[in-house]
Amino acid sequence: MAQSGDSTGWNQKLEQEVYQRTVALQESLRKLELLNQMRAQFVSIMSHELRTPATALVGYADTLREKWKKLPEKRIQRYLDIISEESNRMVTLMQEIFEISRITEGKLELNFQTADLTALTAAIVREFRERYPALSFGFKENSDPLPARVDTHYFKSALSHILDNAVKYTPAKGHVLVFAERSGENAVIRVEDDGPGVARDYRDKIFEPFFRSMDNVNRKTPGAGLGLTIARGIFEAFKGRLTAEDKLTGRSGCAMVASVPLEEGPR
Amino acid sequence: MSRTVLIADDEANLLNLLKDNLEESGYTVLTATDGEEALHLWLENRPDVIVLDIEMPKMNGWQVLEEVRRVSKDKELPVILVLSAYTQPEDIRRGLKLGANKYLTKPFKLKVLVESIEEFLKKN
Repeated sequence: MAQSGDSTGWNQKLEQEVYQRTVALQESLRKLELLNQMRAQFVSIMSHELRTPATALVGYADTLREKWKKLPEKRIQRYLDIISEESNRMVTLMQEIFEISRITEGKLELNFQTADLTALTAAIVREFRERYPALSFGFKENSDPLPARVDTHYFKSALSHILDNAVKYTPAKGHVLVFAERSGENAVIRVEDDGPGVARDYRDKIFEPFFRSMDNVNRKTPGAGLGLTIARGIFEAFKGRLTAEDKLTGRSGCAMVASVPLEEGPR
Repeated sequence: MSRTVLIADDEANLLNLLKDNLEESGYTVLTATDGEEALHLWLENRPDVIVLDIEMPKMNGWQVLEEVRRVSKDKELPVILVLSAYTQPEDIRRGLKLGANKYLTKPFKLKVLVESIEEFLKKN
């Protein structure tokens, strides 16, 4: 009897284990299918985004080749400028796609060093002030330095993507406010803009590749919608986070909040 | 008499390229940067040809095409679709089923577009 009881128990245990493993396998399969689906979608949108500059390039180059002698010089210059602009757009897009693939494969080669995020942020804000003199960039820093382990090149790239995004959606003469502060064990960089803001339902979606908020109403906003995906990937590689939140001032607009663990821990 | 072509595309560089080339070929060109504007211009001016992009703000090319075919009794009005990225066979079938006379995928050759327009206008 005891033996039979043991065998029943053993069978039950075995069945339970088979069941658990089946569930785990089904879950892995579901995740893989989802990943595959996302990859297919990514390739499809990528192809669309590359076709747009390619069409302009082919069209303008063909027109120049066929009509060069007949075209006025001013027109030739304008066409050449467009060819240059569209080539740059294509190159940027290809670089961003490459960067995203490195991030998703975990293959970013990071050169970590301890850096003061307040100073790094201040330098990037200065660059943006020079680049966009018509916009106002405020920078509110905590007087203390914010030492963290980051790759300074990628930190700059990530914060630039966030600021580029803020600039794109901020109206003429609008304000972009940048805060650098300490919050518990983290250094927090918060970028607030005067744009239309991001509805709560879209606050995670905007980090998906090729997502552009207000896509249907404002396709004139430049960019393919990869910047925030790259920025989040970089902050995650720093063991930090990047999220979209309400503005501190509560007015319309969006707040992008990046946090990176401080090197020396809490105070 | 100069024939009128309506071009609808939200990519300014592409729109200007088509405009320049069609004007040089002797057409009067109307341009729209979104679907609503395209429909509005079509209703007001009744151009001889429409060149439509699909992915446009406010109203996409599918919707414009559907509306043009619904309102217009003149089934011969050439509507040419210039697609941004929708290059799959099912997209092409969809465009033709909705009443497009020709479906060109991006990147396309300008020569082919101009020749297609001429060919359709000769038929009519």
